[in-house]
Amino acid sequence: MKEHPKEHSKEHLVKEYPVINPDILRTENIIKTYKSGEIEVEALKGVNISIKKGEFTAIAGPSGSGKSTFLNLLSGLDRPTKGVVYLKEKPISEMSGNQLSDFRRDHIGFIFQSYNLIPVLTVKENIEYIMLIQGISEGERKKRVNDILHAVGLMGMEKRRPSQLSGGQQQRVAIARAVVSRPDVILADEPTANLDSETANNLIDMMRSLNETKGITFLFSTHDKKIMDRSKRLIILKDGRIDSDKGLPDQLSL
Amino acid sequence: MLILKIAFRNIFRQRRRSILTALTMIGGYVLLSMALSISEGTYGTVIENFSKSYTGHVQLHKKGYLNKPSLYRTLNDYKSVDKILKTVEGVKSWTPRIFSTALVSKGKKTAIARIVGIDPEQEAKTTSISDKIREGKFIDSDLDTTKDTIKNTVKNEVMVGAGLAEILNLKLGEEIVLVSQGADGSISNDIFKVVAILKGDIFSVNRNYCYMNIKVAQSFLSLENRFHEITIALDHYKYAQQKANILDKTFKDMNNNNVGNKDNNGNNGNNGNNGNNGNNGNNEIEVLPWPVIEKQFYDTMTFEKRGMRICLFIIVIIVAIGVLNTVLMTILERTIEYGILRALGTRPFMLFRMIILESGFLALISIVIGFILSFIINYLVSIYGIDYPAPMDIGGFSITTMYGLIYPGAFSTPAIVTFFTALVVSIFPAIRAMKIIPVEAMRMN
Repeated sequence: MKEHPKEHSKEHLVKEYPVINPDILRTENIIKTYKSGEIEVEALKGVNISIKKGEFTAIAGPSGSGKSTFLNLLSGLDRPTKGVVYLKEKPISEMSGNQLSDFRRDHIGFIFQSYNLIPVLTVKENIEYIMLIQGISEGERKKRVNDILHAVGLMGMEKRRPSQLSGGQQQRVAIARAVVSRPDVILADEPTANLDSETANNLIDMMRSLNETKGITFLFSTHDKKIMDRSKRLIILKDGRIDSDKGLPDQLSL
Repeated sequence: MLILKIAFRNIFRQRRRSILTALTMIGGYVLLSMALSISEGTYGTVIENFSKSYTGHVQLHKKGYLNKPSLYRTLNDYKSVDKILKTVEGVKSWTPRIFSTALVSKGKKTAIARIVGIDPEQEAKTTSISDKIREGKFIDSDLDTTKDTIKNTVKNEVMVGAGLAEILNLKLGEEIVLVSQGADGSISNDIFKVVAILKGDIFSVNRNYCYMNIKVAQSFLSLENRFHEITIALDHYKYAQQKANILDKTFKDMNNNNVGNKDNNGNNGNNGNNGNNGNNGNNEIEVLPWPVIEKQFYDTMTFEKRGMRICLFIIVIIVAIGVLNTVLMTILERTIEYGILRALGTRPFMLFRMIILESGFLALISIVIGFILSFIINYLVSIYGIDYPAPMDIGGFSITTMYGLIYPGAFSTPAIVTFFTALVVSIFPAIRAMKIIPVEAMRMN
């Protein structure tokens, strides 16, 4: 077989220059101020972080510390008052409405505290939803749905509606929905807050397993000590600023 | 496809609300359909009644006759007209008539009557005068009007309207004397035998009419082979204007082919028998559809239909408010859900489409149910009718019963109106949904 010259040169480059794990998400001096009449509340006061591929990071902190606000800014659901959020070095703060929708669809997976599944769709359809709006072919969708149903332990439940599932099962569907479209990063806002301890542990195990086996990047906003204990990196936010950042990306096994 | 599924399934989420909205739309559809069906049915019945009983759908006269009737404004070439009418599709039958006014006497009693000379055979095919005989028999038809001469013995038989019979206290078999002016300037008078008395209430147009064989009338009025009118019955009254246009063009073309031939009939009353003048006598034929002939009725009908449109508009507004209310409630209730869909990457326009589709589906379901219900109702009304408490006069015609009419427009118009009303009123809430800011929507969770 004839050797492809480009492949050869790429291999050569890899050998010569080791690939540096690039930032998936990066913020530059993020400030977010909320206005309520005359009163201005500064929720984030200049936050700088970078998230690399394969991280399993928890952002923790007391209520009002700015965790959820920070996650909203990272996902493009909200815009910072000052500063820039970069996804793969592209500034998302400058994107238009439709561009932001497409950005979230293609790059971000969401797991919400209250699951937020579409009640009129079945488990399978909920999981398929993002792939459908991404325009992925039916065959590929079917394959991915089967794989993820296995991975999250929901085989045989694909025709059920969310109302026919327990809280833990619903959150599994939410995880499956977030993972299946293969986003760059999954943002999980208090994913275990509404679950009992055992279910929460199972889900954390499952997400950790997905992180380790599939290399999916997870970023949690959480109060849950179980998540903090299992995370590879823990960022503590306090009064809108990073109070501590333990387990930096260069210490992670990628 | 999934957007379609979500839109469709959303209908069944709040069943009670969806049912109420659907009922509003179904009610609107049925009311619209009934209003259209009854309007068309009732007016159609009236139009058919007067056209069948006397007027026909289209009439041919000498130009100006309708506005200023005169004994001398006649057409004289029945054969040519007959030949043309046979070629026009949708023309069912036709009949020639002549008219005059006469004094009618029986003993010492005298009344004024309108003489109508008719071709009994053709008249029976074209109108329903024969059905209006209260007592007696239809006038003899053994006189061939298509021939130039009377081949049989003229029978001086007349059928008289109920009003005339009442005034003169006429009975079957009695004789009356008619006095009128002939087209040659002479005074015509003759004795006629009453062979039939016609039905008729106060609204009947033929109350004071005196029908006789056209040959008899032509002879009596010195109008041999001439006639004032040809009454035409079509397959349906709706084609009247279209057929009138075709006929008008045909007669004009016929005239153009006879350029140079002038109408020698004039209006001087001294033209005598012009029966053999070819087309000369027909070169000023005026073709008039029933809306022109029965202008008063047509104007009243048009005015009332416009009035009805206001009622229909009110129905549409009610439907619109019902749908708007539901869709707005839905948007409010599903704000979080729409926020989540937006967060997951759904473009704003997809949400817009989803909401419009949901309203569209509900409208379609309502239209199907509305169609079934209104079809049953309209069908029953078209057969049994709805009686007015008292006869109603519309443009000089009496209506005692409203009838429905099953026609495509009675179902397609409400369907289009319901569907588009539902879609149009959903636009505003759908735009609101498009503008939902995901992070704010989810904060409501």
